[in-house]
Amino acid sequence: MSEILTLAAGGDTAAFTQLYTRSYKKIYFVAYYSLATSKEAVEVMTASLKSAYEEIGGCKSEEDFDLLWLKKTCEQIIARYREYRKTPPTQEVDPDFIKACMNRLTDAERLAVTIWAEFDLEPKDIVSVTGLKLEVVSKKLDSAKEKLAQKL
Amino acid sequence: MDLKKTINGYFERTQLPAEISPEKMTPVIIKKDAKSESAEKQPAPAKAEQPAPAKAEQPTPPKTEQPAPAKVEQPAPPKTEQPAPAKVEQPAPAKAEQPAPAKVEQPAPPKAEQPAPTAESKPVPEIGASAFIKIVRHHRITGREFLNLLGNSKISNKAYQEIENSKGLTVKRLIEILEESSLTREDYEKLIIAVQQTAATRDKAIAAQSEAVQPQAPQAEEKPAEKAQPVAEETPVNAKEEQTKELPKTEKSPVNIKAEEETTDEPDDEDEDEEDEDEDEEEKKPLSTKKLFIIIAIAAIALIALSFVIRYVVTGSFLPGENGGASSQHLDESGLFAAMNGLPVSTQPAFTRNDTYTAGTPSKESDITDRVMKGDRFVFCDKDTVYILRCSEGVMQQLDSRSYGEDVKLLGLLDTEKGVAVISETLKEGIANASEGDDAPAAEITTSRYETVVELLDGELPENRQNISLYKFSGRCAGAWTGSGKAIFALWEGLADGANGSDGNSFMPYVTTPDNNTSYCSAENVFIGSTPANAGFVTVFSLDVQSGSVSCAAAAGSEGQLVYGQGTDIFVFQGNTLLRYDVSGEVTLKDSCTVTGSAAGFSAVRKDEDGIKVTALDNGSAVLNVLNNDLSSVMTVNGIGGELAATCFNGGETYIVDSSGKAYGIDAEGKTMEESTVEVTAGSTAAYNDKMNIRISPSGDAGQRTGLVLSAVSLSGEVLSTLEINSGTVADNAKDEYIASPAETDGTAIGIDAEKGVIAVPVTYFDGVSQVERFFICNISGDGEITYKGSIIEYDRNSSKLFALIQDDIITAVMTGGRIISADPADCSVIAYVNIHKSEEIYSYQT
Repeated sequence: MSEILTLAAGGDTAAFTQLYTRSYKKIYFVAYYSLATSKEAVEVMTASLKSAYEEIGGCKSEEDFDLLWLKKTCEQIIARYREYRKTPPTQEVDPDFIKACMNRLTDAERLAVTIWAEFDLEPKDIVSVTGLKLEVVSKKLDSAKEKLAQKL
Repeated sequence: MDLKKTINGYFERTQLPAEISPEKMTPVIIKKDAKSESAEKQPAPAKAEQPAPAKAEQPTPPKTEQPAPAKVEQPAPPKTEQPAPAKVEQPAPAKAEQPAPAKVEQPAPPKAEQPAPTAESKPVPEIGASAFIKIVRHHRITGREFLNLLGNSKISNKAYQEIENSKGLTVKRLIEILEESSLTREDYEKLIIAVQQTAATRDKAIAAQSEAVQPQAPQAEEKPAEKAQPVAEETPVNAKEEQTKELPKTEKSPVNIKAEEETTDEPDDEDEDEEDEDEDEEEKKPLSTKKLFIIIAIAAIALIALSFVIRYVVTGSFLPGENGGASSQHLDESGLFAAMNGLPVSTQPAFTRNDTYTAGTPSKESDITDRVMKGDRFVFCDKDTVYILRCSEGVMQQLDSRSYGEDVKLLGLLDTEKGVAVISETLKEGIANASEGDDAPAAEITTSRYETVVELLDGELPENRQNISLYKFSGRCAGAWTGSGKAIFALWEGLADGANGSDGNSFMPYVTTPDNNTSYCSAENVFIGSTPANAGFVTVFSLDVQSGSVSCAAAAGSEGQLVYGQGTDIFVFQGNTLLRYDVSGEVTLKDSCTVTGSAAGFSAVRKDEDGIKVTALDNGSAVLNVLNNDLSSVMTVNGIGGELAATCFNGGETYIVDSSGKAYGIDAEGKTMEESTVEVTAGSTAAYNDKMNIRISPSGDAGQRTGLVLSAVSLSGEVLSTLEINSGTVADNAKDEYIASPAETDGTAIGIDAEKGVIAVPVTYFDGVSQVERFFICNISGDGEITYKGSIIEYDRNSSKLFALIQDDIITAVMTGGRIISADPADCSVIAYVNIHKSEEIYSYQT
């Protein structure tokens, strides 16, 4: 285990801040652009961070922790998607251009493309963090790229 | 383009909420007791021995007690909670709770921190009508696209119609019209953005197609990428179909603007010349004014006397319409031809129905529709294609699509008692023998006649192409009705090109039956007035859908016709004559009468329990004729002036609406009403149940659309409740001025289940990024209270038709741009969706 991880696991705020600062923007972007609102994104991000922190002992490097946090975030996001089936989400009022474009994608497309864009992961790696099937990820990633390319 | 980089670029401009800053988040995770909790799970590192790196360089985050400085610099993101759906008699109550909505009306300037990601912030040239037209032409926007864009803007109806109806509109005149319209700089900005997006979408689709597939014919269809999905659309249905993309037709006609500038001042010069000529003529007048008056007066008296004599000779009475019979001639085929030959053939549609205004209950002028649900089969048509689907517990499956060729115009569907009938129109060209006399060389003349083609589909399996009964009726369809085992068609036809008086088959109305036999309407069954004014026929055909037998009768020689069907009565109002055909058996002319005034654009006929009402134009003003059921006159009310636009009936009351929307009411006793008992509106009304109707109409002043108002209205016209549809209520992020609904003109677009108290209202709008197609699902209580429940939403489908059906507790939202979504009305959740595909094969009539 790296030193930063060890310190962060021990409750060292500076170490944790350093660990958090590495990827919190990326995680937020994944959550925010995958979900309906910023409020949901913050909730998901906080819950997944807590969950990841509880399992920090299993990480050997900072990169491991990043992926663990991302995986936990994806779990939370997919759980929200299930709730969306029952109650469609209320979208943000007056979203900016990119948010509006992302809103046009399906749930799985948003998740796949944001991970691809922010974490630079290949479909097989996205599979490992999302738990979705490879064919679903590949297909959704392609269709999301195609749709976004038309708008951006 | 590096898409990843582009996306990251946009993401980086995202405002981060204050609560996720490291300073805020760290204390949330590393609480005071976190150290010990973590320590239990794994051994703490020896802090003393291994000091945290870079601690000095990275200052300790501020403690929670300290005020968060980031709060000011990074304001909280927009609120996620939206207002509860409004029943909105008072406009937009939610706005006070939401700080943002002003952005909708006045787009905020680009923020310094977030430069230019929004569509609104794209640079545009100096904005105005001229710039707009330049951009339209630069992007080669087609006529249809141009009209669609304008139709979604705040342009006034008058200006829009002038542009739409002007065939040879010059650029200069177009700019003038736009400048005279109420469009503002902001409107032009929005229009220009829409133009750019339209062009970009089209160009990309074309590029994608040319890259992906081998080159196609010039009229090849574009292949746009699949557009967005419904809110909760991940239901794993039709995964294969989702991959497939629809191929919409490429627009062919460019915007209908003459490239050259129009010549100026000529009209003025001509006017001056005419004035000069008039002056010259006055100078040359040999008669004094007094003498002229005397001559005119004598001539007028003589003409009036002559008209009375003629009327007496023909009708046996000096009074008009007194005996209920209209004057007519009994002519054979050649006589009919001779009577009409040389008379002008109306180029306008002969039948006028104006559904713009509604009063009270909705009127149904014809049974022709664009959708029929029959058993588990769902048939609908859009543009040139008929789609046939199977529906099982809300899950649709496309069985067939039939795309008619360019020479066929698809008119709609008729739900007959045997099966669905597809009605289309085509121009039949043929050869007629026109030789005269033995010595004359045989001459061949090409005839061209419109045919209304009726394909009666298999009753149970409409997708079965092997069992279609094909009927071809001469003429163009004005209305069709179904009932009592029959399909009734009222068709209009001008005297055929190449018609030959000696050959009745070259111009008489006819029907060709599935066995390919053609029968012609007998001259005995043709009514022609004593003074025909126009060359053409109005023919009523009756098709017995079970036996396949057809009968017909026709009226000839008049213009300004109006057709109206009620039960077994079909009324044809032409000139000043009202004809009633009985279609209970073979088609027969039951009776006829003359009325005061003549058929005009605003005219209407209505038969109800009170009798028959006919509105007509007499000496520049409207007249209402009230007739008994035997067509004898009860009374006439005349003198209703103004620019007459439409007639609305509501029980015993009649309303004449002028072009400004003002309604003149006449009660059942023929008295002009001081105050209308119902509101006559420009919106459409859909029948809900026997207590109320549903109406949707634009909100805001004329030309300043601010959304839509959905109303539950009692049969007496009282508004029971309303739901405003705009960005402040239920249409998130909508640009309010672009909110529209197909139900504004066609109430049947609203899906209704009155038993369960559910309606689904289709609405379209532009949200700054996409054209949104959305179905608002609402509950309606017994006393008419409307409550918004949820919605089905799609983006950039560009459907030409949107409508909803509710059947067997399932809402079916049809977007002809390529998708049908089934949803559960209980919670608005998506049950299934299916992508619909237009066949590339051109369908031919199955003979």
